[in-house]
Amino acid sequence: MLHGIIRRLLSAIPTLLIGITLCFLIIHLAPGNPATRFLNPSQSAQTQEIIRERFGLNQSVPVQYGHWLERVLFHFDFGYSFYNGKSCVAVLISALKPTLILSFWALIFALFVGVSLGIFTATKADTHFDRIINSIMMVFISTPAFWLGLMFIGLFTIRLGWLPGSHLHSLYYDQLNSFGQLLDSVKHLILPVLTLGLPLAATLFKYIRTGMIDALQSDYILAARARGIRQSTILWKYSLKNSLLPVVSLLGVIIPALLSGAVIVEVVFALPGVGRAMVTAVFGRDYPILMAGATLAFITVIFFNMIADILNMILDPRIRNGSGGL
Amino acid sequence: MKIQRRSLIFQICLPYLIVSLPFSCQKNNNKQFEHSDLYPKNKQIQDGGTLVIGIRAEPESLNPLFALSQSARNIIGLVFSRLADINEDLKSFSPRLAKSWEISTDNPQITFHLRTDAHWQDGTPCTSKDVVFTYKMHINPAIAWDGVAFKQNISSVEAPNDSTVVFSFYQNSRSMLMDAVEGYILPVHILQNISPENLFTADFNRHPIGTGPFQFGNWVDMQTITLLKNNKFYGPGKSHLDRIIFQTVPDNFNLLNQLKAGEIDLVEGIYPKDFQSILQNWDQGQSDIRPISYLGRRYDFIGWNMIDPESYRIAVDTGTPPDAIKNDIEPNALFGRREIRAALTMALDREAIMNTVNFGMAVSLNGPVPPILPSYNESANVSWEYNPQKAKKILSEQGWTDSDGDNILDKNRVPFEFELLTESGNLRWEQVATIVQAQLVEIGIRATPRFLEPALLYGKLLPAKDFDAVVIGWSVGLTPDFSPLFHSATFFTPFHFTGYSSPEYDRLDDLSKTALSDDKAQEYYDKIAQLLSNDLPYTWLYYRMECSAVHSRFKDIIYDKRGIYINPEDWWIPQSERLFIDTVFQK
Repeated sequence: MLHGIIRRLLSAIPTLLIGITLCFLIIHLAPGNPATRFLNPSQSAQTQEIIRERFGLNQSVPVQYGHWLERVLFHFDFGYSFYNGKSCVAVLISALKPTLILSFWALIFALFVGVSLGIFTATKADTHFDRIINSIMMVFISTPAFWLGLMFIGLFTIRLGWLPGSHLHSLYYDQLNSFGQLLDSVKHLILPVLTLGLPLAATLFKYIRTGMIDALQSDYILAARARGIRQSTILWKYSLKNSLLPVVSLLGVIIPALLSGAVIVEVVFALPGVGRAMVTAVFGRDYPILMAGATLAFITVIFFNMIADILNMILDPRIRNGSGGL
Repeated sequence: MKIQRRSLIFQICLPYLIVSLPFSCQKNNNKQFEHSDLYPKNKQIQDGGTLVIGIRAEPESLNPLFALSQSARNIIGLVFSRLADINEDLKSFSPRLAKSWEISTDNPQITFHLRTDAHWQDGTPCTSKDVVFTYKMHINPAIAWDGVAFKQNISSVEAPNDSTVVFSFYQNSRSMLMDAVEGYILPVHILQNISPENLFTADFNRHPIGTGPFQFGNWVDMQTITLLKNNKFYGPGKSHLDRIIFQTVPDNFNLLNQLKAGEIDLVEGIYPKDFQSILQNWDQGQSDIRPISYLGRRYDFIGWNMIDPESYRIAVDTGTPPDAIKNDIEPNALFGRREIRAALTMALDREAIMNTVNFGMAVSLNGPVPPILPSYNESANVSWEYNPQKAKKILSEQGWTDSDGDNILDKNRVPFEFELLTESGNLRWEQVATIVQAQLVEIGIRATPRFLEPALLYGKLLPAKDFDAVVIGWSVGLTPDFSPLFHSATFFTPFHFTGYSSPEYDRLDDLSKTALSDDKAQEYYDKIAQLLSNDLPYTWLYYRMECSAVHSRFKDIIYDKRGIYINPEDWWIPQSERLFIDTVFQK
């Protein structure tokens, strides 16, 4: 298994390099120039050239790429934001915490709701309850995140006034005691977590429900029932384990998708996360931030795919024994 | 089959119920607000309270040398001071860091006498050394300060002593005082040790120290910037408010809802449609959010490309000195002739466009001089009436007729069609472009709106001049300066994207700059207005009103064409109207 992990790690390096190189080229070759933001009518040609020089935009794209790669590989320096002059690493580190908090709770919520409802409805397949839950989950799968977020704000913030619709905490957060701070943070997180977590929960629900129904109808479960094994053991030990396998593979895709879903949620709920930093960078043609964010995204995707593969290997003896996977 | 039908009903009805839920729960909003006096006469001003300002984007920098966005400039205006502030007439100035000044026109000089009680927020006295240092920063090419044009006529700045600064000028001009006081004064004791090349990334840009009525408190990334009352402020009165919090809310829907919910006290740049709703609620006593509107600093227009983009590209690519190749550039096949631009302008119902996209929050504009400036004279502009029939006649005289019966005019089998660019995401401009398309098709012209994201649009427009026509707008300064847009000397610079060239205009523009009396300058401005509104490099559409809203508990807010931050240190909140946010920070 260790050999497989090492092989996988080594194969990730060229994938990462090719990915970030393509990303660099796409960003830099796209029409439009970040220096345009600094133009003003009275600016001389010399000043414009100084601004281009400040950001290294006066060099050819391959030279810019070479400098960028050298700084990143040898100094872990992603440069400075064209927008505000802040170090890209500092921008991402500061933005990573809210994104991780949001994604973590959304994942926990999605796993809890998706798995528990999936199992429960599988045991009640084709009942009214099953159909109602199915329909509700279809809504969450098919509703775009930004719309869902606005709906929640419309209902819980504007109409009912129960929950705040933006930011990580209140303006007077520092004035609250520890319990007040905790409560304030929880209140601010509920709507973003629901917005990000519900579509994910619905996706997981679909997988678990289908997997469970298939498992419950399979021959080995029939045989287990015939042997008089208890229903709960059949459900939790035999059926669930098999239905979780595709979910584990799915997690490799879901976690990066969570981070990209956070982009919309962070903008709608004004959360200071990586997603919002990236959106701002895209509109401002802030190349260094974009590249730092893209590198982070590549690493996240590769890392979580690898984790999913390892988990699959642990859970599935067919993979572990070399008939597939790593 | 029965089960499937039931399932179908669930699949259709439940989602509908869930989706419509937020809209079916009507909030009981019959509360009536009694608006107290906004400018109380018999007032007992009480200090304290918090102002929360909603902004859409985080400022890029709080260093006056690098700030470009409006939100950054607003914050900087509260933290830093100039030597003098411009008055409402946009001609005279009030003392700020300079308590007085003398202007000498014989040997063009201005001598400023500085206040001796002004201190930086870290306690260091603000002296003439700071003023000299600031000037050096302003003109330093490595800084690339965006207001450097103001300093072009200044030959030197000297400090004979700590409280005196002498600005010397190359030549006498009406704008000497404005040129000298433009720009906020920076602290030499903090910035002198940072090389200009490294200043863009300096920590000072996010932790500024100024001399204004408010001092920097803290900056939480992408969330809030807090300013605190500056107890060392030198001004006639210290701020009444304890703090101002700028809260970033990128989503407009959320921003307005926070304003309505009372979580945010002040929002600028409200879209006119939303502003009308705020206005209506205020008038009916259903809200304590006070609408504020005033003539702002922006106008929108259609810019016509008067030169052929391809010949321009070829000419520029040759690399020969610009003036030598100017004659090689061919006029635009469509918009190169004034008659065509006039016909297009007459084919547009500009009043309808103005009212549709601005919901009444704009005034008509027919020429280059903005109505907020003292030099504005509407009668100087050539006014083009809406007359599609006359437009068609002019086009016909120019050879544009519908020879093939496809309802589109053509000339030599070339149809009259073009791309009308604008910025994607700018709802107002997108609407203008769509209405223009609909109005022009009535006279047989096919304009195809194309919405491009900003970097792409300005990339095509400004350096490359690669476009047919564009709907955009400019922000205007407090002095009329049209040279970068229309003077032949700036023909190859980015903002001169229409390719307009007129020796008469150049002459008038030069004379307006050197005129020493306001009357003489006005004469030239009137002639410029007449010439440009007749030549129509732009079809001016309207001049926008700024729409803002502020909670009515804030009293004595003065606002005019200079904006809403004229006297923030004088704003105050009566004790009886204070909210939780006004008292919570006192713990």
